[in-house]
Amino acid sequence: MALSVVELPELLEAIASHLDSPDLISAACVCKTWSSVFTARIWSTIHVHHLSNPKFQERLPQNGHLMRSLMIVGAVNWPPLLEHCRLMEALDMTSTSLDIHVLEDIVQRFPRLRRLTLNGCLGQTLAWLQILQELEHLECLKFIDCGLEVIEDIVEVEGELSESEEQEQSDSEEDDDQDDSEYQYDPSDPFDDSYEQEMLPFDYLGDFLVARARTLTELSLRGSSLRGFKLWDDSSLQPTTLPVIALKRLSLAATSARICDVAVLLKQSTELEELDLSENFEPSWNNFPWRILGHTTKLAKLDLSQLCVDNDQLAQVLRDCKGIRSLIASQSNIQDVVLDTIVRMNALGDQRLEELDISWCPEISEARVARVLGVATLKSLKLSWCAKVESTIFGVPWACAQLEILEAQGLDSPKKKQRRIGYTENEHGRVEAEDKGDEEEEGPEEYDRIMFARLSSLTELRRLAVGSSTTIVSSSHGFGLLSSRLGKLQQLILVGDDVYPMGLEELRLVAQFPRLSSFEFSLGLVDGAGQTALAGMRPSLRQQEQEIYF
Amino acid sequence: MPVTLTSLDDVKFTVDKDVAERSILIKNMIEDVGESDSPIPLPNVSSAVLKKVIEYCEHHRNDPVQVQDETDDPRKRSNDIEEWDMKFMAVDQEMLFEIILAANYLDIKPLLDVGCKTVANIIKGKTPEEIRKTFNIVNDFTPEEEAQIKKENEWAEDR
Repeated sequence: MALSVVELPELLEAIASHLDSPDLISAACVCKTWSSVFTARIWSTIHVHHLSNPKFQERLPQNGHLMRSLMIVGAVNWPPLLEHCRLMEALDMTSTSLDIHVLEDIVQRFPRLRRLTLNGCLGQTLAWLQILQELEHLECLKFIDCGLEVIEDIVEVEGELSESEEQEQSDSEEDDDQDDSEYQYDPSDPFDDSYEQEMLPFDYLGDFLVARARTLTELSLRGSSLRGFKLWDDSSLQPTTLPVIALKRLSLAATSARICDVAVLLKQSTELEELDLSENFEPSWNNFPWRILGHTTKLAKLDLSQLCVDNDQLAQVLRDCKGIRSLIASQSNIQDVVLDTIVRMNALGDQRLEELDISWCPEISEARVARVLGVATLKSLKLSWCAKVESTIFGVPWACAQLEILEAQGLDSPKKKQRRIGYTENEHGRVEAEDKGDEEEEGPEEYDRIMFARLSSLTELRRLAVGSSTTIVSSSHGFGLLSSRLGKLQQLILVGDDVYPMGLEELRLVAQFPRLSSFEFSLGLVDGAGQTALAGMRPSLRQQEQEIYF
Repeated sequence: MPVTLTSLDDVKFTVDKDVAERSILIKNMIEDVGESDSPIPLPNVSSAVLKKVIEYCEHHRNDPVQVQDETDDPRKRSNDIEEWDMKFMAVDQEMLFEIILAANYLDIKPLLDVGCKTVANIIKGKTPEEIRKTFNIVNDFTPEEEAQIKKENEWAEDR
């Protein structure tokens, strides 16, 4: 072979993609061939703080054509960028002040834009979609945190933001249409006709989706309020007039979209691979025609966190979508019937689930969770704070030995639960007696020992969150097993009984995890002296005391 | 069904079809020709390199198809070489380059990636002169030109 690796621009580009400045700058000085490749790489991705650098501004007219990707936070001087960077492909803007004229310029001057992110920009409104739909190459649009409802939430939580956010509110042209603080929701009506009684603005989103139906593969509207908007003109609801939508990834998280609109959108989106419907609190989701998802046979990832679902229909969806690899359903009402389907599909080899999040799901029983542990393909499992699941779960066989992420906090031992019987009944309802068996006679140390023994067999773990208010993190309870076995662990999050804080011996064990980079612990589990001692043993370890919510 | 591959120096390797098809080039060839017993000639790859490439493909025969990662953060990606791959890549520079060229020719994206990451790791932290020495590259810049390039890109140091 005549040419070496270090002479072929194509391979040098591949190498450059794994480097960061200042290595890129050194590489650009090596020789003329390298210089052109690595300079292009330096210029390809620009961050906001570079824009104000005089040396950058000086080179912009010569090298602006090399720019492909630009990330902006806050204000920016648009004219030179619009003039020199015509080959821009990706633009990411957060809290940037934009008006409709700048947006029109962006669309006109950056005709090759493939990826666009607008994240809580000043003046951001859904009406902008009318302009953005002209971008013929647009593949990914993230139109995040646009709308009044979300802004109000931020103002409540973080007072110091209020000034700029209030300004945003007054700047927004759509204020009158979105301001529905008086709005009363009627839960008895599945399709919530009260939406219709209001003045609905134009269906910018529907027009946009139709215009970009063939190019757009990713759309996120996370946190952008769609309340009071309709996605589709009622006259266009005929399937014959709507094109098939090429979307592969769709997020309608925290949008309060009307379920009838979402149903039509999903029906047209047969290529869908990832769907995020989380944080839509309206109870009407219980009436959503979930079976529509049965047509999206390529679906691999489904996020239903904080959603009220129809369990029987969801089980049917999981039977139809054999490619599901990830189901996120924390703080949802999912029930055993869904887990039964997962277990059966995976046992038959029809499905290979890799990720499951059922944290804070109050209706799931321990017996079903025990069966889920038989899904050998699982790599990530989160079941913290499931009210009906106790630490006895660590005593049953675990076939998911390849787990890389495990979160199993707040699973009390049965003894403790009996002591706090009032709490148990009020908060969590019935505790299943059949699974406890003779183990009720065992002491809390035994539960800790069983738990740590189980965890030490999961040698692939990178992230582990475990423990409850009854856990005593002590080497006499078997904690020592972990650091010698979990050689890949990077993040450890421990909850424990603060009456028995971790001693020097246990902290020495924490310092012995070969790859650990982050250690978080519940309030009081490691005292000040302990934190200092651990920092001495392992200076690079990030320690964080957390107030864990019980 | 096994597939036979012939190297540049005419050595024959018989491997399982799913191992050989980690190479998109070979996969396409098999699809074009159809089921056939005749060996597939690989006139660009020597037997020593082909042996290494096959070793890689056998170890990764069950890997899922790589999903294109749209996020473009080099810091995230350059330090994540698997332990087995790291050991596999612990070869002299000549062999490393041969493997990269073979992976490029045979169209084995994950192997090409690991190879390029390995070269990137060699570059990290070195001065231009050290890089030239490491890879035996002739400096075709005058000292003034080199200083100019460095100056023009200084702003980018601030990441």
